[in-house]
Amino acid sequence: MLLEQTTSHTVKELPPLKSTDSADAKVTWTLVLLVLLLIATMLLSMGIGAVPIGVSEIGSLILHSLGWTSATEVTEAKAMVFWVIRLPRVVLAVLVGAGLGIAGAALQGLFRNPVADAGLIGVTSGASLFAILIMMLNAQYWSMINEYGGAYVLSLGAFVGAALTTFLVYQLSKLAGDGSAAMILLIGIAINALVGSITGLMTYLANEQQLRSMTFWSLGSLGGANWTSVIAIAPFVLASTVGLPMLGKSLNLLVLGESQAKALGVNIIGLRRMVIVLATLGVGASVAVAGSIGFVGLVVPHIIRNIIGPDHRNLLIGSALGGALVLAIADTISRTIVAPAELPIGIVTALLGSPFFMYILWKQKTKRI
Amino acid sequence: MISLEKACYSVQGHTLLSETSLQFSTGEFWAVAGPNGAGKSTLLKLLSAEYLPTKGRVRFQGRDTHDYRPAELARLRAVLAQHNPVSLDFSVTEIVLMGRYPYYGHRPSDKDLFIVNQCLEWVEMGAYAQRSYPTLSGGEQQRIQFARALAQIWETKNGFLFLDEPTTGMDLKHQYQTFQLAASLARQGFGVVAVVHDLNLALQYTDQTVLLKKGRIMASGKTNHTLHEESLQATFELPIHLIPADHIRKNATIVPVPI
Repeated sequence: MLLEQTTSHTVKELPPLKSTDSADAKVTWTLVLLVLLLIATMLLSMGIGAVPIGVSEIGSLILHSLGWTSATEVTEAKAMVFWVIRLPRVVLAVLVGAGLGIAGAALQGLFRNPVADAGLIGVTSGASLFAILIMMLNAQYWSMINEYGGAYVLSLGAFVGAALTTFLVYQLSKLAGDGSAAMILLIGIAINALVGSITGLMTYLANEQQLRSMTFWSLGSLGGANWTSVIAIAPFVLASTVGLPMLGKSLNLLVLGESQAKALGVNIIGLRRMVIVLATLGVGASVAVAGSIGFVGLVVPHIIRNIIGPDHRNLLIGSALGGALVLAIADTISRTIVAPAELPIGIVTALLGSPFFMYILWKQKTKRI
Repeated sequence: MISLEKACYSVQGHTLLSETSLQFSTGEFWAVAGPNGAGKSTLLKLLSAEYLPTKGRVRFQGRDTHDYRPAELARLRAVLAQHNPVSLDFSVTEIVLMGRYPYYGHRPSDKDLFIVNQCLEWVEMGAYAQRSYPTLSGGEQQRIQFARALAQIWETKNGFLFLDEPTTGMDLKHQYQTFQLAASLARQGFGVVAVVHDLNLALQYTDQTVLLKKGRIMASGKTNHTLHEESLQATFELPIHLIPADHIRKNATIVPVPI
């Protein structure tokens, strides 16, 4: 009813209606640029290595496999390297990065806390504990399994650990408190410490060789990439990259505070549960196949937010793309810089990420003035 | 219309609001007043359906508040909180546009953007549309939030607006402007309920007042009938002098008398 009354009495010249257009264009261009950069990085990464493969050769291989060209001049050996080693590894890096990036952005929004990431709600510590438990037991009793399916048992165990620990944190926060965001964070700290102490005990009991594989796992690596691992995690990462952006508007309203968001129609409890489940699926699956890779979930959303603003509808998609890009680059570096050996990817992401992160913080400060 | 029917709200044995029956109609500007801890915010939260009554019932336009889906209520009433800090770098337009979220899917329509601009003009913040919200002063932020709440119920017939100490952090001029705005909304057919600390503002602008103390109603009804020396002294435990209206002051003025 107000609308009719005021339109007839409007005296003031109103500012142009579509005041958000220029910002929209910037967002669109940034997302397009991220996609292009990601494709370029994937092509580059697939080409670099002990057996170099050119971009035209990659194109010819893909066209041939699609049946568009009848023959390809690329040697059998190169084709093998491409299909069995390079391509699954790059695809895995993209999936893991997207899962970590989008989960970080969603959890920072949910907890309204810029330092939140999946580690806080127990995903990483739970996965680590179960992975290490399996490494210990495996060597003792299950060496038979190790021969055939050790890697899969490890991944499955890590995923179960991630899911169980997060579930425990979430349920305890409701049991011990009011299930609020602050309660989840506090319970998360307690459970992380508990799980960490058991992990520490395992480390203490471990022998030399177990200790080495634990360290390597905790620094993360995509060395075990193959099509099985890609297919194993793809559904989980897809679920979180499709599902989380749908919660973008609700996460925006959460910025106004829980009670205001509620007044604007957000089902807070449902939102909290959805974000935690989807983030745990993506990160749990990623950690399961690649070990714990730090910093991506924390830093990538900050960088993206700095470029395209805090609107979660764009931020979540941007963080998935940004995470994929960062991890594809980091993995390429990790497997080439000390070739033929490999550097754990967690070292690369933290080494490159922290100075860049500090630069972002410094830039934010200067922008504010 | 919202009616409280013997509504009660308690948390773990502590009664924050004991059996209350009251009716709030659209077209009225209500003040909720009383000392700290009297249950003013609790009453407001029962009305806005953030809390559900632990006993009795609260009915919003005839239906129990617990029968509404959150999205449904979002189109019927808006709430303005006392403090509205936002840490992320949203622009003023984006914040006010959030008031339109219950109405559009992915992209705001031209009408949504038009309403946002109208609401910003109403609170005289049109020039701030492109500014970053966190860089504004507390009073300016409060006015932007007022515009956001306004955008939420702009086209709602018989909509309700709940204000929890709406003038916190505002300068004198904008305190009066805010009350003027709220009063004019009530004249246009909205129901407005505000928690008010400044009783003189209540006398000047509101139609109805409810005085609360320790979760109980001390007095309620037309503001100039409700706010008198006896009721105020009983509520605030303070000797209070009422200067009657004259040709300069159109309303009575409340002055606490030092002991």
